[in-house]
Amino acid sequence: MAYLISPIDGYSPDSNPLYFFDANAWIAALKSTGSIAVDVHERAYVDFFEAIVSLHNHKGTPQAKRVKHFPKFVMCSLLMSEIINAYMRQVAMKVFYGENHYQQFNFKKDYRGTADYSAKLKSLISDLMAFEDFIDIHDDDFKKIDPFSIIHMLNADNDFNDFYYFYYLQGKGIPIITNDGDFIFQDLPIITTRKNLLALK
Amino acid sequence: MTTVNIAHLIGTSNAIIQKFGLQVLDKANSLIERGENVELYFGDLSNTTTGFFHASIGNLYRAYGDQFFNLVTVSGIDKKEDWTEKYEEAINLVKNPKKANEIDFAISKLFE
Repeated sequence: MAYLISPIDGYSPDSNPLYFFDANAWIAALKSTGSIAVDVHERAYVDFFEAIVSLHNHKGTPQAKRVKHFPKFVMCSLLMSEIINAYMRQVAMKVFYGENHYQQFNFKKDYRGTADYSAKLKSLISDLMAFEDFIDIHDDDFKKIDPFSIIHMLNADNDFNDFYYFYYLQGKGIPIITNDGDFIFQDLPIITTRKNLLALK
Repeated sequence: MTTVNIAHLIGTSNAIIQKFGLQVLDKANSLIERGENVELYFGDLSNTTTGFFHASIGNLYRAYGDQFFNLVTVSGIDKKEDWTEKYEEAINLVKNPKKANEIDFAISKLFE
């Protein structure tokens, strides 16, 4: 058992054929406007995401011989659901009602019926679909993982999705790119900027 | 008027990352600085994203204000229904920097 944690800075994007970006990294890559409010850590994930896409421009060129892999992004149903829900609830709804007021409103009863909800959802779906050529669709292996082996381990530090992603990715050699400081698991390649995770190396 | 075929410029029909948008920004800027008007041709693209429009159109509008509409025209943007919406959203967010900051602030909170 060992921690396989690497800093995102300096990590070569062509090192692996597949990467699993967590929902927050996806949202930053898709929806950051590039304003002064963009966090420096967030920028590192967006840059790595974009470096993966940029690699594909070398296909068919003399430089392609030096590229080990032209990686794709792993997408499973749980991740897609998490991207849509996190963006619509924690970004779109928050911006629509305002940081200080959004908690007074109900996502389903109030926000879902608005024109802003429809527009933001349509835009997000369009952005996700634009990456179709770069996404590797995976089944969630729900039965194989056996969710009943996970739910009894849930605690204050880890949610169901964290455990699920760990068991789903374990043994596949697919690195997860995450800024979640609670994502503390062994024998799974993790690429991050989080100091507490990097200190576990 | 110089036409910039975006797909040829960025080397792919997938205009899906901010880096490609910044390449369009640099090219358009250099042409405008030479005194030329620019036509951005979207017709050979297969995909675009919000991020690409923020980096290209949004930054060009930020640089030139309403003069942007005299200096830069777009064609082929009607290839897909929502490309015009993304174009307009990029400009509207530059006009409303408070909202752009709120979006990026909300996203940055996801990383805490």
